[in-house]
Amino acid sequence: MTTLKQFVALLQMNLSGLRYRVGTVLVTVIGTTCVVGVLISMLSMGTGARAMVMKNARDDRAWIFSHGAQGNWDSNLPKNTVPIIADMPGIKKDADGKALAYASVMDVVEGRKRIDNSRANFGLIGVGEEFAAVHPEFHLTAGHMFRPGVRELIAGKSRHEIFKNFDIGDHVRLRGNDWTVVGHFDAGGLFDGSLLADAPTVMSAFGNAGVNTVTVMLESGAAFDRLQAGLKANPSIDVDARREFDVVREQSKQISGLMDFISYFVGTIMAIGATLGAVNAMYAIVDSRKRENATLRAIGFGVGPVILAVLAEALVLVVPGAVIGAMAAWLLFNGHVISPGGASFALTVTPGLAAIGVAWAVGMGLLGGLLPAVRAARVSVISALRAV
Amino acid sequence: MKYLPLIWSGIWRKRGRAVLILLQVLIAFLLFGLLQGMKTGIDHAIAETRADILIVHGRQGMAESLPSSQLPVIRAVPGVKAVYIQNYIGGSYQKPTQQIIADAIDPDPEWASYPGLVVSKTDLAALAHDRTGALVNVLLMRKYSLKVGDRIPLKSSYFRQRDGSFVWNFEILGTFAETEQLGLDEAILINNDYLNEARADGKKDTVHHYIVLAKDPKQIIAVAQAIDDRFANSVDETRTEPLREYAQSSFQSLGDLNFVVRSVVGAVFFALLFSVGAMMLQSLNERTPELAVMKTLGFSDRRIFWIILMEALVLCVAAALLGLGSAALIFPLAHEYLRAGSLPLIVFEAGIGFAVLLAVISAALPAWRGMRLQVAEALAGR
Repeated sequence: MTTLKQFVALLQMNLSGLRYRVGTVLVTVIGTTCVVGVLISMLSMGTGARAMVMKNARDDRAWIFSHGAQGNWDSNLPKNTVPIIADMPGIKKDADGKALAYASVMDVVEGRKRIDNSRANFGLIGVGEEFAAVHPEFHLTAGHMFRPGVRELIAGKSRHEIFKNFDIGDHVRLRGNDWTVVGHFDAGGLFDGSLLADAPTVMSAFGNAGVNTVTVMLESGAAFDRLQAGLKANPSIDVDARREFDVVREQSKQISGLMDFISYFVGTIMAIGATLGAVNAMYAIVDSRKRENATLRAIGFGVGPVILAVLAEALVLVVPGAVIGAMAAWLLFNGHVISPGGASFALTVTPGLAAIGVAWAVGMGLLGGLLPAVRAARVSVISALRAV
Repeated sequence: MKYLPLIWSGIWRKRGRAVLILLQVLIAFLLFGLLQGMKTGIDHAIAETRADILIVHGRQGMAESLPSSQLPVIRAVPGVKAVYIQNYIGGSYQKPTQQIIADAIDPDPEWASYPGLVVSKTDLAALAHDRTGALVNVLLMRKYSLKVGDRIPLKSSYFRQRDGSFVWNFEILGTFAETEQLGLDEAILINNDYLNEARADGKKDTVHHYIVLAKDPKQIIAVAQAIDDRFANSVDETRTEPLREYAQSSFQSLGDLNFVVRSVVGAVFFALLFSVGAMMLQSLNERTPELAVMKTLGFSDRRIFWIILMEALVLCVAAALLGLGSAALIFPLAHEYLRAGSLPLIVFEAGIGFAVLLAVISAALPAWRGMRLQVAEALAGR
């Protein structure tokens, strides 16, 4: 109990002294603000990329790849496997008894950004007729759906926002033929960075012999095991089925994993620098209180409360910095759309990221306060008081 | 020069503090060196791309393939010295994480003179002779302890052979090496005839792109235009561009690296400015009586100003040099990701410039205060 009382008294004394050390306080606060601001801004890239693709990922949708494929780009299924897969157990049927399954074929086209005319590649995905039924989150925002057998395509939201020549009525020249943009769509994430068209038309125009993947809507999340068993039992096909949730998580890990690594790498180096600054500032603060500390130790204050009070003081300095940094990141970058390569997503500053920033700052404060705290506690009472 | 000991002892007046601030500046410049080095390294790599190489790909970008029937047409375009075809299949060797690219080429002896590539005519002849052969990058030979005569099975998930198999077997006939960055670190060269015969993806008789060596680098734009004109309004329209331009646009599409580097470095230096400035002020406050004594002894105001400024300058520049030096040591380790050899000299120069700026801005106020110090007042405080 006395320890707590001593701690509170010391902390009050320490904090009341801070107003005379505006410079030192500012150094620590600004240092933490910069570190946390940069860390959160950079992490918001990975978070944004993940949030975009995960938003509409479902447990009761499954993707079928050729055996061993890492993703849809390196998966290749012969055309004749598509009806076999659609026949598998566990797949939901529509009112007419047709299986909710479609094949998709992926080709890559190039676009030029409106902002600087730079090029980027993105997918032209040819999809089967059940596409809209398998993706209830998909809807047109303008124009109409592409028609089978005609060279028409629809562009995802972020395509015509970021890239030139994808307005409705525009002609896009692909493989020596003109394709017409007839609509814009919003699929709530995954497909928004692509163009969609009729699969057979794409396959004949681009000369694809097979399709990349088949996507199916399951009767329920639990029906996945039946689908899996059915596929394994058929020796004429060699495929892997994966839940959409896992597919999307795996894919987003590859992009956002790298982004997170770079963010933490830069964040760590910056934090080391700022922690050194905090150590310096805390030493200065502690040294300026040498006499007070010695006096307190002489009248019976314990080592523990002195150390704790200095650590708490360090936290009081860094946490506001972290909060300011997080707020700056949120104000400057939240919702800011970036489009590295062909992808496109909004930076997302979440409360979780802010918490990471604060945790980071607390770590910096504790590490930075530790040595000065020990010095404050170990001050030799006699020599400190002799200096008076 | 004679004030150096004075400046030196001023810096080390409080050793703990000096070491901490030194480390802090060092770390900031380490980060600056790495980030700016990466950016500058990429710019250099682009600038060093050879000026006489053109890349011919489909008009809609690199993802399209072109018919191999275009080869003789391109070869006949005036100003073209040599044409190379390029096809790829990707696959994994032994385990899914060990990805290897099989670069399918026409095993023409011409490749022996391809800029940046070291490959013998004997090996190329062997590859021409043996359709399932492969020439392996010496780096890859070492990485997987391979030797000539070994077989490498590549398991592809996309490229299927006509017999339905996804496994492509190659026998190692020889090796090659790169003297320039060609992006072939994890690659083997294979015979395109084999790929062309065996592939079952409907892309028989196509190539991924062509590489054209121009006779005269100055004529490169005209040659590019002439090639594209040959195929204008055909199903397989081409776009021919200098390799340098192509490299630039691929990096550009990665996003605004400049902005990220500038923001991070800006934030680091902003925080540092306050740290160094506060440290100098603090040190000045402690030394007020000493400065007063120096003035009494006849140091002019201006001299005091310079001595304080020089302290910050020596500290910042020394720490910056150490930080940039560490960055230069670490930089080559990141070679695999950055594809940029050593830390460019310009980054050093810019770094030193920043260090001087940092010192001058952060020491300006303390030095000004030191200069204006009134001897009587300063000593009265004692």
